[in-house]
Formats: sequence, C-alpha cells, structure tokens
Amino acid sequence: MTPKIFRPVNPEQHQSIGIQSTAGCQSVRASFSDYLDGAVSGHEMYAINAHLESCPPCKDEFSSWRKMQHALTSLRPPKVPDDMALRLRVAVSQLKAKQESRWSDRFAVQWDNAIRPLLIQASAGFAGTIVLVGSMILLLGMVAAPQAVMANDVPLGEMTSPRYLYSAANERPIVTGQDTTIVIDASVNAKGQVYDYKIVSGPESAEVQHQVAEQLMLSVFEPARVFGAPVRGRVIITFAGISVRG
Amino acid sequence: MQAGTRMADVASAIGIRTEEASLVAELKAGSEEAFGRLIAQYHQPIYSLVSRSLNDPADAADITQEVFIKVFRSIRGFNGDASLRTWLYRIALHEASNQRRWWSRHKRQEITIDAPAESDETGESFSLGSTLTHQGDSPFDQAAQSELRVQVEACLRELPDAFRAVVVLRELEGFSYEEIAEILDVNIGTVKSRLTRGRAGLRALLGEAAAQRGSSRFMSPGHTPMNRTIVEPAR
Repeated sequence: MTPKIFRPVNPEQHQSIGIQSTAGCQSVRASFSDYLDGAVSGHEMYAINAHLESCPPCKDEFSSWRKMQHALTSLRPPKVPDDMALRLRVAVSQLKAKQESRWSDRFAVQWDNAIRPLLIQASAGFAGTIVLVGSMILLLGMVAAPQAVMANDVPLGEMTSPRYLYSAANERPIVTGQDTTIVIDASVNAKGQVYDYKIVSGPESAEVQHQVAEQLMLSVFEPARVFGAPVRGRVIITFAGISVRG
Repeated sequence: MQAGTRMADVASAIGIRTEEASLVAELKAGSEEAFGRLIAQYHQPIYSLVSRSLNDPADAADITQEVFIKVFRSIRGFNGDASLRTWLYRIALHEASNQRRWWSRHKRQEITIDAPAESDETGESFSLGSTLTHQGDSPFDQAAQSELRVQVEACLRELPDAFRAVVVLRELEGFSYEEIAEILDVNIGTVKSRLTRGRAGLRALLGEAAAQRGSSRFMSPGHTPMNRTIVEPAR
C-alpha cells in the first residue's frame, strides 16, 4: 500500500483561498473514516494529526465526524420484548419436536387426540346397538313367538311308492344282443309282488321278455303305502348291468 | 509486559474458539440446552441489528425469530470457516434484507392512522455514563440527549441500506473490517469505502437536522444543509 502524503497547511494559505480546501485537505478528509478507526499507519496518523493542527477547517470538519461517532455510541440497543428469549426457545423447541417425531409418535399423538375419543364413542354406539337389537329379538321371541303347528298338520310324506327289497333267487344278468339299458314300468300289488310290467325302452324280443319276467317274478318289493296302508303302485326299474352276447 | 499481554490475548482467543467449537458441536447434535445458550447470548444483539436494518422496527421480533429458526435448520451446514457470531449476523442481515424487499413491495403503500410517536424507544431511564454529557446533567440536558438519540436513529434509518449495514456493524456492533467483509461477503476495500460514505452521509444528515433545529452540533464550516448527496452503492 502506498503511504499517503499529508502536508501541514500554512494558516495564511487558507486565508488566501478563503475556506476552500487544498488538495492536501481533500486527501486528509478522505482519510477521516480510517483515522477514526485507527486504520492508518503510524506515519499517516502523525501526518494527519499535524495537518489537523495546522488546518482549522479540517480540524472543525474532523470534530464534526467525531461528534457524529459519539452520537452513534450514545445510542442504546432497542428494547427487546420481554418474552423474546422465551419465544425463541419455544419456537426452536417446537421445530425440534416436529423434526424428531417418528411415525409411531405421530400415530400415538393422533391416537390420543383423535382416534381414541372416537373409538370410545363408536364402541358405546356399537354396544348400544347390540343391546337394542338383542332386546327387540328377545321381546319378539317372548311376546310374538309363532305357534308350533307341525303337530296339527297332515304329514305329506305318508304316501310312498313301491321300493325294491331283494330277489328270491340269485340275480342273473340279462343276456341280450344289444348294448343298452332296459327300463321297465312295473306294477306292484299290496303284497309287494309284480303283477304286470311293460318294457319302456330296450329290446323287446321274446327272449329278453322271458328273462325280465323271470327277474321280476323273483323280486320282492316294499308295496306302496297310503297313510301306512299297503296299496298297489307302480315302479320304474332299470336294468343297467346287461351282458352282451358275442 | 506487552509480550505477556499478547500471549494472554492469544490464549483468550484460543479459549473462545474452543468454547465456540464446543457450542457448535452441541448445536449440531441438536441440544436444546445449547440453543438456549445461543439465544441467551445473541438474541439481544441480533434483535438490535435487525431492528435497525428494517424499515419497520415493529417487525424485528418476527424477523429475529426467523433468524434463529434458520440457524436451527442450517446449523449442520455451518463448517466453521467463519466465526459463529459472524455467521449469525450474516443470516440476520440476509433475513432483514428479504424483509425490506417484502416491505417495499407490500407495506410501503399502507397508510397508518397512528402517527409514529417521537419518543425514546427504550422507554428506560437515562444512563448518564453512556451519554456524551458529564455526570450531573440537568433534566433539560437529559431530554436533549433523548431527543438527540431519536434524531440519530432517524438519520441512521435514512441512510441507504448498504451504508447503514456497514455503519451499524462497525459503530454499534464493533466488528472489524475483516469481519464486516465476511458478513457482507464483500472485500475490505468495499467495506472501507461504504463506511466512509456512510459516515459522511450520516454526518450530513445529522448536520441538516441540526440546522433545522438551529443547533451547530454537527455542522462544520464547509457544511451546508442542502448539499448532501448520498448515492447508494451499486449492488
């Protein structure tokens, strides 16, 4: 840094130029700020000091700078609101709590604040509903129960059709030339014996009819019953296990 | 003797840095107790700085809170290149600057029905030792001092933001040129230049105010009330 040159000024020089500043004065005045802070070298400080001693206008000017600085130092810090520190601590604390809260903590808070009160109400409502509906069912059962009418009804199942029981001889297969089933409409009397029959489908050859008749004559049926009394009835019999000749 | 004093200063500085490093480590760990200490230590100066940097000092409390919230959020990014104090002041000035921009966009056009009261902001009794007058001022002198403080605050508020920030940091907060450069992220030459122009501007404003009151306190022979020109520095 190049040291600045500050020249002392002869008082007569100022008188000759009125209050107009010389170049030295301008240079000194430009350094007033640094001079106030002591931010000039020792040599510069000495030169400025010497200039101020010899130059009343610059001295007055510097005096007003110093007064300005003193006026600034007279300022007091603005009054902080009484609760400022507390307010800041609360703000930081809230921020910290917000940052650190995990999902489980947040859920716990939500649970405590919202779900739990709601759950109590919901549980109370549910229990109330059960009690109400249960009471209604109980009252309906006690007061408006339907009568048991089954005993007075005529049983519809008292009419039965004939049912095959067994064959009096060993069962023999019906031998035929066609691979088909034989369906027979048989009439059974009150004793459970077949007294008539008709081949509904299947071969109707004499040989087949003879074998069918033989089978039916040896078969014993449970007769049809009406209210327990045996009566005649009809039954459809199917011969499916037929041996095919050949 | 002088060497001994210097050694004591160095040891003290090292102690402060160690203490600060410890505080920063605790802050980074999220210690609320450490934030409590930080708030206790810095909430007053940060509030002062913010209050003097805003167009409307009534917003100072909210902006101070924003500053500390920002500190809490970004303390992990503090790498220790600057001192903690410098870093805090940088955040504070940045927040104040944001608020000023918002204010100029929204609030400037509002008209309040309450005229601002011309009174001592502190509302405290005078501390004679902190005034320029000698002990034993009369009530008249105290009132004059109070009026002077209000006037200085008003003139300070009239300074362009960039000059005002430097003047406040230097004259009221006592930062060195280097620290101011760090806070404002400018070079030392700019700091010196703004400080010179800020002081000159403030002196001119005070001189003008004194001339209006008929006082010659800040008037120099070369000063005329109408010749002040304070040009805001280029950003």
